[in-house]
Amino acid sequence: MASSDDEVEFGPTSVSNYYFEDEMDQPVSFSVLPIQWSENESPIGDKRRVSLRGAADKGLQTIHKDVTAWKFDLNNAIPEISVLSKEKIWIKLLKPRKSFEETIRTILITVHCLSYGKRNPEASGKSFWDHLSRTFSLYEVRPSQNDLLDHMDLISEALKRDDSLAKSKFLVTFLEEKPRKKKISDQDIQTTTTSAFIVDDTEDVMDDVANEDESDKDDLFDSACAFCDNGGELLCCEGRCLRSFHPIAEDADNSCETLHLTREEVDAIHNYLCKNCEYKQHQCYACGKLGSSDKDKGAEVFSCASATCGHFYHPLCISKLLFWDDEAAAENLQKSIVQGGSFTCPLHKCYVCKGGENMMDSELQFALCRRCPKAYHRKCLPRKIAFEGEEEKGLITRAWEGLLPNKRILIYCLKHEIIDELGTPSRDHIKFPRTEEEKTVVEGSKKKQKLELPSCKEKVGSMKSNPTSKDSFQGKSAVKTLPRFSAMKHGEIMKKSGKLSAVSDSSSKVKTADASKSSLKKNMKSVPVGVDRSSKLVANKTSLGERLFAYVKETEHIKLGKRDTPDSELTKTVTVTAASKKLSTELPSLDADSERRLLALMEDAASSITLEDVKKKHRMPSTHAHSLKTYVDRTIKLGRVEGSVEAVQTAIRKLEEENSSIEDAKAVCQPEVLDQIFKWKNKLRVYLSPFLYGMRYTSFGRHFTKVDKLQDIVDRLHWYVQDGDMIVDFCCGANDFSCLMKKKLEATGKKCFYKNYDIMPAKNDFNFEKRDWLTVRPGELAPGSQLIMGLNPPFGVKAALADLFINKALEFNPKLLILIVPPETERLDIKKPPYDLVWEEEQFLSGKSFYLPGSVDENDKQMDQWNLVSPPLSLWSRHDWTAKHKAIAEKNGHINREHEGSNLEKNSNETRIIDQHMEDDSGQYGDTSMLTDLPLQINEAEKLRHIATKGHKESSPVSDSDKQNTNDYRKNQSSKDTRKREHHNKNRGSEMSRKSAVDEQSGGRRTGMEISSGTPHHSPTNVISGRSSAEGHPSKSIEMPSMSHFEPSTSRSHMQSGTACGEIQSSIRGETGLVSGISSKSPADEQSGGRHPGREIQFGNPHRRSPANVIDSRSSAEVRPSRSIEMPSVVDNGRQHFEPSMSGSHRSAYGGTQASFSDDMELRLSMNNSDSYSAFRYNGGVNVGEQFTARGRDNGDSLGYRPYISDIERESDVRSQFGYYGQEPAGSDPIFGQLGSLPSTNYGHIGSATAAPYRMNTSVMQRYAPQLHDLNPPMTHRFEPPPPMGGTNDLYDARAPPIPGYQADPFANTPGPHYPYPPPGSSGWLDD
Amino acid sequence: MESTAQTESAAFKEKVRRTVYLDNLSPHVTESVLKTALNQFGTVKSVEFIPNYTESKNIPLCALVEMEHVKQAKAVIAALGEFPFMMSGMPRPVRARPAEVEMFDDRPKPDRIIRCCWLNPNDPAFEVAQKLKQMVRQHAAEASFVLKNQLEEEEKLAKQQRDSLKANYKKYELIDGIIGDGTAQRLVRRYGMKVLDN
Repeated sequence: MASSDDEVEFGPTSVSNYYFEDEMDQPVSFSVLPIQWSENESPIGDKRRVSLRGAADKGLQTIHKDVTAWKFDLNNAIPEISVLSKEKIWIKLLKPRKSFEETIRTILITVHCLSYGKRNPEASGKSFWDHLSRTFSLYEVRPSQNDLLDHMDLISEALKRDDSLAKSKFLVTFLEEKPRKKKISDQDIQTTTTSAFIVDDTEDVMDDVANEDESDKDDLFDSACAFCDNGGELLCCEGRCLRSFHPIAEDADNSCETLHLTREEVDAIHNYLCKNCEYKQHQCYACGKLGSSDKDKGAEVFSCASATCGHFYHPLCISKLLFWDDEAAAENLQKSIVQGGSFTCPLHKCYVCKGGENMMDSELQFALCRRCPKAYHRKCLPRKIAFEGEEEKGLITRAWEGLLPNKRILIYCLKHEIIDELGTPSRDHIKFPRTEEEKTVVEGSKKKQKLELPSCKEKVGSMKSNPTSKDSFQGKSAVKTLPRFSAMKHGEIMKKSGKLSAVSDSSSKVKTADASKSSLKKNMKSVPVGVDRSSKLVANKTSLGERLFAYVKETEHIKLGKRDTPDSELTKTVTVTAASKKLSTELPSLDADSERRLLALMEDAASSITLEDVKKKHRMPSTHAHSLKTYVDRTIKLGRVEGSVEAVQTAIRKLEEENSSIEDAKAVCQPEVLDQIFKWKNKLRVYLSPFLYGMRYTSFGRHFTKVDKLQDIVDRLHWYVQDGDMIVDFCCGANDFSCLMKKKLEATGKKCFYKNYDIMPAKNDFNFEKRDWLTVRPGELAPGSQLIMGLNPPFGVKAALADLFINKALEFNPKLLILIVPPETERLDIKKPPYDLVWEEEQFLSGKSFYLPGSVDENDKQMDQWNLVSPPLSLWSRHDWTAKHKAIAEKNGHINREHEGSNLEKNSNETRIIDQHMEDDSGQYGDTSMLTDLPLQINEAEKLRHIATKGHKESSPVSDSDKQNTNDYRKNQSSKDTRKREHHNKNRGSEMSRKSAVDEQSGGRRTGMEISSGTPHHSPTNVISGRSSAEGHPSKSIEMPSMSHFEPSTSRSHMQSGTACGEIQSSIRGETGLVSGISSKSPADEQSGGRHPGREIQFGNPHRRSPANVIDSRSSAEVRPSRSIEMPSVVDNGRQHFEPSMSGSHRSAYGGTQASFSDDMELRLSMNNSDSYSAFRYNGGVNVGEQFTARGRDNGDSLGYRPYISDIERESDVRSQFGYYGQEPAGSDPIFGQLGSLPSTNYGHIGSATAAPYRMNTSVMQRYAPQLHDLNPPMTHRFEPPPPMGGTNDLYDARAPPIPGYQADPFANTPGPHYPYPPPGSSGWLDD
Repeated sequence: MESTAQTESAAFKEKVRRTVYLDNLSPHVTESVLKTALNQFGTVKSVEFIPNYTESKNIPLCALVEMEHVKQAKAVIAALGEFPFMMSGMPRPVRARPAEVEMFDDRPKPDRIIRCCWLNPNDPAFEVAQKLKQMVRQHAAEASFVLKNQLEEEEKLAKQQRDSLKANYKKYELIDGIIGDGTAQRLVRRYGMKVLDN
């Protein structure tokens, strides 16, 4: 027992590596114990059996004791916590066991918080959290209010008992604000509430989507500090040196020199350019001397060609290094380098075996010396260069893995002596071109105390880390010295680079930063208080009137403060204003004092709003969660891009001109770099899309489905709806769908429920709930068997958002899902449980099926929108409902089948009439586009071209085997034509007249053209058509008009292209091109020629297929509005479903597309788009692009014909064509008859659903598609998008001269149309 | 007479409630842009730009937009407050808040008669007037100082944004340069690798 007595009396008074256990041996926080506030009080709280385990006596003794109470002592700088053992001995707790930290995290933070509050009663919330996160820097999650919330009682009790604590403003307000804070912080943590959790989840997903390749990307470039060769939070230079630095002195351990910046400065820096890159003075990596690298002013040092290298060399130095044994070669190289020749430095060849690097083979990975240009293969690494952990062999560690990218090894070769304290060679290897001023700054800052701050960004494995133990007093003094430095540094930076951020960084708010102001600002907290007190004194002495006066002023000032800084903390502003006002009462004008005061005021207001607060307030909906900004800014550095681009160029030159080996090329440009470039481009494109695609991005970048399209969908969908179903539109936009649906269903006697969600308020609030769809929970909606949900979700990059929305929808097990989602969306038949496809219409929504709400074009009309690849409309059924739905689909002809519809003609008749009607009624979009078009006509030259083109159009209806039908049909057709023609003429009066004038000019030539081109063109057609009719496929097709457009081309290149143009009809086209080339003389032709090589378009449409007819009949009865007018997509639909109501000519254009576009044309298009394009970019560009992208049908037209008409809606197009034909004496019928059948071939195939031609179609279209984009970007600058950032649009001007191939951005359109919500990029901008 | 005045004033008050005050507008914003932009939240009845007399410089314009219903006005304010709303490609969000009576030029003026007179320096009111005058001046000076600072800041911000846009655009152009002319693709082929380039 004696021994145990000993233990009691002399037992340990402190314990480390400790943890607590309860009866169940579960770890438990000591805070469950009763707390003893003071010695003469007994512990308060429930008694629980808790035992303490740990090590005492410097680990020599293990402890296992039952404890009964705990207490804390705040009198020291570091709070002490002790527990009372059963033996009534207080045991001080030192360091907890690592695994136990999480358990006592909250109580530790709370106690530290109290301690800090006791010592710093004036401290603001920010400094509290700064302090705490410094103290608990090792915790993965930063301390937050959440940690305190568990111990509110403790805090309030402590405040009651300790007067000095009660003075802590932060703690007091914290207690008062408790309820609100609690909510916020819950959300912050994003674990407590379900909705937050979901959002969190979403963000992760988004991150995954956007960052999928980010993990490997950073790896390409150096990510170790250039000073100390260690990882951590680094600032990457934007320039060619490709280096990174530890920016913040306090952050760096191991006595890294660092850039001596403050946190604020770093936050403010957007693009850091190191001094070397800024002054273009780089060190030679061989000799270490600085030299100019400015190629414009006679460079002394030149950079290595390798994309990821970033080292510079004197020509002499590098020549000697590379050809140390061959003087002549060295001299040659030296000369060539001076003349701009490229070289790769010795770092890209093994010093021993001279072999190249191969990242995939661990033996062939490189070890690079960080001090001189020397590299080894892993296998060739000298033994004396030892890895960490091999010290026992008496070797100094010289090699580290995991610090350099590409699995490279960081070494210091044997030339460099390792300094023990540093673990590296001496660190004088970096020379910046320095100015006097900087030197003082640097020296001064060297004296600063070093604080350790947690490094949170760009974590890189840091192996040599040697955390400085932190002392809070040190911290304080360092803080005091900081403002000076920051002020100086600040001014300097502003002068030189002007890159300070004014938004979030408080210190940058002061424009004319001198030391005193800066420090004033830093000490804001105390200054206002001081002033406040003095003003009170003054106020007490003055008369009542005086005070009233002051009061008036005060209120005035409050207003002022409010106006300037709407979100400022009102109370604070008031005090400060009142106080300072008092002091300056008698000032007639603004002196320095009041200026400073105002500045301080602004400063204070500004600092009360942090970017984080704003972000918190603007919680992004799931669709906006991700921003590319950080990625673009932090990773895609200009220097890296330049280097990579040059490397690619060098590599290809080496390969193609110098016949170097692939390995040499790879030394210059690793395949990974190349890969990276493509990824970068995609990122940048998304990021910059608001600027690349300009005006489209008014408002929130949503896109809505047009009402007429919705009506079509409703007409289809309503068959599947049963009485009592609930229809959910999860992204309802303008909320038209539900309204239409309701109308329709009520008309058919079904009563249903509706739910509509969107994150923006909808114009029509019918059953609308403003809510993020992803936060809707199961149970809030009707049971799945009554649920019909879907429609047009935001797509997101690679349909990521669409997937999210659908997955969410699937949680409700709806019986039906109707979706407008991009093709790349994950199909529902591979989900779990899988859904069955009832039908899918790929072209239903092609063309201008969408519009951009809130955005107007230059004519103040609602902007239409299109998709490059139109999103299919699809209907998915839950498995147990599939049979039923399929039956409905079958019954209503929604599934494509061959039908022999005898009543075809009748139906189409009806349809047409209705269409006509609709045209008038629903003219909204038509009109819009018409108006849009007007500006088109402005450009004379362009019109000339158009007209010339127009001249070469022919069309012919196709007759197929079913002659009777054809005849009937044609009758219908012609009557309709007439109507349309009239209509058209009315609309386009002005254009027509102008056209005719031009016609006169160019008429002669045109006629000739027609003749010459027509003949060869027709004959093959006929042959084909013969075949097709023999096959009998198009039996039901009534009309197959085809058109051909010939465009004269003047330049030789055009002729060439004309020749090469068609795959199928190349010979014909060649002729055409030739003919036109010779005959054309007019300027108009010259212009147009470049772009429009001779081309033919043929089409035939078997669209009058029976299923279509069936539908048609139905639809006509139902009044199906505008489908026929818009004629969107029918052609592609051909595969599954033809729509009868389309007029043949539209279709026909489509056929032409497939046949006529070839690569050559693409090429030419992209290269020639200078004058002629710019002429109509303004108005036509959009539409041209759109037509191509979206609608096969229009392709034919658009090239030849569209441009002038370009903006006229599809139907007007049609009309115009008819009008044109009508005018032509040669007229429709004869030629129609002739040509008609060619298309039928194509369509015959299509109809039979083998879709061979169709596929061809697609591919051609796809090939073609990229070029459409060539048209689009120019549009951007023609639009003169408002100067993006409140100023010049020189940016756009830069694009004006078309660089060949410049516009080749294949999916230029994609970001726009594809993402209904702003693509990540745009939110990135918002973040600015 | 009085009742008409009353109904008028009531109608005006109603109008004020229906109206949204927008500022930070881009100079490119026109009435139709505004209308269309806000039409997605409701029906815009009228748009009135508030002329800016204070500065000759291009300070963002403000406008009063009258919606059809109070509810819609609230929706607009909520939506614009919640998400950064950009108009005409302006990368700075438009701000919205409820209109106030004082913002309207055509508001019914109260029947207050303002009389001016000279004051004797001995008059006790003289000192008060003097102080008020001084105060007004001071406020004006302060306001313009603050405004100046704000402008500088905004310009700096705009410049910074422009710079970073330019920088990023330059990167894009550089990359586009080699991808556009096929260099990169040729190298890809040489290397025999596959690159995802959409």
